[in-house]
Amino acid sequence: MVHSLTPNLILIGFMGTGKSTIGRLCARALRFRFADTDALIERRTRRTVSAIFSEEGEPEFRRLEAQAVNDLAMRANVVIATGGGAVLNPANASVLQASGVLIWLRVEPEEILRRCGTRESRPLLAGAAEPLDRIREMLTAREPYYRAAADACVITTGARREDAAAAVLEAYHGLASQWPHLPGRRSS
Amino acid sequence: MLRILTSGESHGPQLTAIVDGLPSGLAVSADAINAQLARRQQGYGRGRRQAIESDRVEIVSGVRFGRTLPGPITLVVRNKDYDNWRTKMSVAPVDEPTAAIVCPRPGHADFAGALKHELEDIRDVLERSSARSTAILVAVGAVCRELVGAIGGRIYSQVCAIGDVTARTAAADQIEGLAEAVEASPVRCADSAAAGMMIAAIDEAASRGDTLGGVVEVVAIGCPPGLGSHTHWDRRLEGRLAAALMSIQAVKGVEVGAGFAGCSLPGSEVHDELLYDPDLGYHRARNSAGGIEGGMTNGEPIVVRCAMKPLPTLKNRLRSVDMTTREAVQAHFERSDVCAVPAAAVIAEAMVAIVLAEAALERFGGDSMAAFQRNFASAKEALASRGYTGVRWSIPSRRT
Ligand SMILES: Cc1cc2nc3c(=O)[nH]c(=O)nc-3n(C[C@H](O)[C@H](O)[C@H](O)COP(=O)(O)O)c2cc1C
Repeated sequence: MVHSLTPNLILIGFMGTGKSTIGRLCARALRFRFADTDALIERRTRRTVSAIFSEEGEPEFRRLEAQAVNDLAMRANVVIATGGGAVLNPANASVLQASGVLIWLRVEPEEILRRCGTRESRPLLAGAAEPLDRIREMLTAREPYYRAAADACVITTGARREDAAAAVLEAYHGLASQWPHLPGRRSS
Repeated sequence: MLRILTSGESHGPQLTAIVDGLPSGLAVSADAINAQLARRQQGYGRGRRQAIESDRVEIVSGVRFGRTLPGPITLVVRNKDYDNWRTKMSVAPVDEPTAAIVCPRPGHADFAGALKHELEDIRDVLERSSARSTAILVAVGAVCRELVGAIGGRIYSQVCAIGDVTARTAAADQIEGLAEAVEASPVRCADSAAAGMMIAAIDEAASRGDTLGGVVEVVAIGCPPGLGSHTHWDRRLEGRLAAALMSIQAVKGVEVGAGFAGCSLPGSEVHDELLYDPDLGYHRARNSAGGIEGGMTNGEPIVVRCAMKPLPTLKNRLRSVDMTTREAVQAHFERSDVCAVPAAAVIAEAMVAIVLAEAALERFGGDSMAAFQRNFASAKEALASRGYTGVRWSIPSRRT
């Protein structure tokens, strides 16, 4: 495995937790580039994520996502914002762990709902009758995966984006020196 | 001699402590005690009861004008919930007794207590075995902390691990500087990235109807050398600390300094070489001993850690047996926390305060605080004349 000495900063977590917003702020502070797996997929396919979901189905999206994760993980000095489902695939999680420090952004379901609404661009929420229940349900299913993959967790409920970014950077700097031998990593 | 007796049931009218043997003239304030009681009630993962209770102490004997009298102190913490339990916990017999608890909760005192005391209703055990009793010990600890403060001791705690999440914990010489961050953290952990993971682990356990344990550390900085004794098994300080800490419900292990991890290293990497410098006096480059050698404090920070098992009452109930019919059933469920590790850290501080106060009284004695302070001052002079200054651990901490 080839990697640069400075680990990348990888943000994982549910949709609406601020991975892209906070990721951009962190990238600026670290003088890293910013990349987003969903944006890369959209650029490559020239289609929106929701279009891929509705026209080709979730399995095809997950295949494209795994490719995007693999490609971004090979770059150096990047902040990578991952799609909310990316680390549910253990292969993606281990590729990302080999690329950098994984920080999990976590927000309360009520705030996720406020941030996302039932926007068309969030295919997994679209059409849900009780979106808050749907979010809770998805969180219960997904959080164990986020927790298993993450090296640190930053709770951003109610936080200003600058403060959240500062907390992420603090966690990143605290762990970067030990990477890739981070405490609690089951495999590395 | 310091003597402490506590009483009270978890859902009875009140918890009571009688503390006898403190010097007269020690400052005692309800505010200081209440502040400690409030700290015990904080922490992520606690159930509804902490919201109901908001504990306050009443000092009903032994204190006048803010100072201890020669006689025993009596502290009372009322159970605010008692109003809802007047019938179930009635002192006098009641016409219609509430249904007995007959299905022991594994991991609790229920089963052994019911057999030992030949009880029909397990409530008669659990009312006293419950960790509710730690509230009154925290109150006693708050009084003792004042005496420990009189010999320069300051007591801190932090959470090192919850479930499978381990924090990068502050070294003993940094804990004082991080105390504010620890107090501000809902899991008493200054490593905020790990604290986030701990909170997530607690949420995850809660959603599965499960519980989590963990590890807490208590550090006492500034205590002079010579508390405790090497001469008898029951006077060795680490033994007394371990007994006090193991008495906390759900604490299953105690380690001192490098503890179990130190046991896999060669001696050269463990023992703390003794150094001398005219400015610092005697000092050490590390503190694997956790401030205790041969059953006595050696002047370095006292460092003890407690392992807390996951709480035994599970929403996702464990298998048990109905003790009346002997049929397989699910264990009784009584309101319960998911994780009480942060609270255990505060309770552990109180237990350390009690043991150190007792050891301080043995070493410096005195019927009044004036006598105690004279004795301490002369002991300090004797230490200084022999090259022990303790400057590194005096307030404020000089080390970085
Ligand atoms: C602060 C604190 C709170 C506790 N809360 C609970 C609780 O809510 N539910 C539970 O089952 N055990 C709780 N416990 C642990 C039990 O009281 C304890 O496991 C039980 O009494 C058996 O004692 P042992 O574990 O020391 O053998 C708590 C312990 C402490 C220190």
